[in-house]
Amino acid sequence: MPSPVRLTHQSLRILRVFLDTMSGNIHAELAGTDVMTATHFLSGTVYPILLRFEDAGILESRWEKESPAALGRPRRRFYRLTPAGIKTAQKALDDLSSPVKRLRPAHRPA
Amino acid sequence: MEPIGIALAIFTVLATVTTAIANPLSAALIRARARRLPLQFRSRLEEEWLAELDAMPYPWDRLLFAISLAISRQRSFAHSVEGTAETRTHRAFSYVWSKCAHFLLEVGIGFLPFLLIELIFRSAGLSTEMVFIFGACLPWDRWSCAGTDVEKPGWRWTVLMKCLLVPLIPEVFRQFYSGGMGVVAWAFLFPFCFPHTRPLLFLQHLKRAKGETNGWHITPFLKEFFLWIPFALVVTGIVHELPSLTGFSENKLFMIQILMFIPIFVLLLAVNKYRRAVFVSNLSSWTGLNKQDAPTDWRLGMNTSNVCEVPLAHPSGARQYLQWCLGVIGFYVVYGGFYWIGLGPVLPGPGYLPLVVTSFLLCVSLAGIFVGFHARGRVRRCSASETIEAHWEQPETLRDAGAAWTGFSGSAIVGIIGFFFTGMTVSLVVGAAAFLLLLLSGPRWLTPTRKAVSA
Repeated sequence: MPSPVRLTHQSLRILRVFLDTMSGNIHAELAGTDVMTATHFLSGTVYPILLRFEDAGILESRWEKESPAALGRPRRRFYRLTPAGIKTAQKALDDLSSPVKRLRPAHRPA
Repeated sequence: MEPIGIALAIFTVLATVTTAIANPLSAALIRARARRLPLQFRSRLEEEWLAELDAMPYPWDRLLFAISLAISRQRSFAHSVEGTAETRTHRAFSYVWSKCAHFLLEVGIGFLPFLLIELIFRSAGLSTEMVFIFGACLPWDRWSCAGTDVEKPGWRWTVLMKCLLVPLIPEVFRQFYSGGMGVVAWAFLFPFCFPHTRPLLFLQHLKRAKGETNGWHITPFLKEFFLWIPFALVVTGIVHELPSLTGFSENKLFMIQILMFIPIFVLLLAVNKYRRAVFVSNLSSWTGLNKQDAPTDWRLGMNTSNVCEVPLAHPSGARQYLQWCLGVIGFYVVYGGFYWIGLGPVLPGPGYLPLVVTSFLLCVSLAGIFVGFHARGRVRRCSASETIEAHWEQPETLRDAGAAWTGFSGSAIVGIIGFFFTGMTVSLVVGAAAFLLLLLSGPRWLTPTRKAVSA
């Protein structure tokens, strides 16, 4: 079960990007720059959120399996939603898009 | 060389140099940022970021990536290591730093423009002085007699070498009308004095000179500025303590702060407005005056048609000053408005500092365009055949042209800097629009002046 994490406007958009990516391919993974490209956020915004999500169990990450020598470049790190993270993300986005209950005024003018 | 050409050349050189050093600079920024991270993910993030850097195709993207990480808040990365001694120390430090940073940021944003203006427009100090420019080949003793007979105490005489004088004269007029005067002021500050030689004389009389070397180094305006700094620090400090003292919310106090700054800006504008000086020139006889033609009393004998009284803290400078003030006020109003409606801490965007800087630069850019257009509407278009004398008779025209030029050019520079700092397209659009306005209008306004002076 993921630990509770503060969901800001930016973090919700990042969750949306991961969900959208996974809707096409359940095993899809994204690097930090992919998230930046999709959200138009800068790196200083994206990476702290990715780390926070990873710490909360919403995301998991892994290094590329091939060695840098085989790749001919430094290995990159990829992020993907955990099963619990998928539920958290869907719930958060559903809550956001669900209609708000109309409140009944507590006092009526005389 | 045309100012537009110079601006383009400088821009090209800057862009080329930055592109050339973008890769090592980005890597250095990332390594420096990683060193400030908690131990747990220091090496991991450094490797990850360097790998992402390597995957990016364009140097500017890499630089933006690195800068954004470099200026990101330290506490953004400190969330997952709670409980360790390092984190506790770090959190205490970041708490104190965040308080100091907010405080310094406000003071900086409020007063940095005035510091810049002071550095750029140091010639404002000359505004309480009397400056005479004569063109003549006369023996030094003749000039000295003329001066000492009229007003001896407190006057200083400076003779510039011809090699300095010749390039300086076009600068006097170019910068006088475009708002700078920096080169001229610099030459006044460090003149080469050869009082017994006989070059073309460039004579300045500094009235009310206070020091042995020069009288305008510490100007009244600069003194006022240094008086304002402690005042601003005290006011800002008091305002920061007010929440605990009064129980007001931060949003309300932010608005109070804005209201407190506005009269300061207005007061400074008023001070600038009434700073006037006399600039006397005998341009038509610049090269023709000689010993035989020289009247006995040089000051009274000057041809009055060539004497022009203009404010040395001239409107183009004042308008650029106005641009900064409008920009600062606009920034406070926009950003304070967000705070007022409770959106300050949760504004969407790339982070607190870039947002503050972008808002500020945008407001200054837009104010510059406004000021430029205001002046542009009053400028009479000139043909290339007109001479400097024609403009000299109508100094308002050239001053407004200078104001428009400085407004547009300042906005272009600020907008483009804003884009490279934050990557926000709106900054680039504003900067590009100002640059386009500058290209379309600036050269036609200023070309006749330069041509005439160069000739």
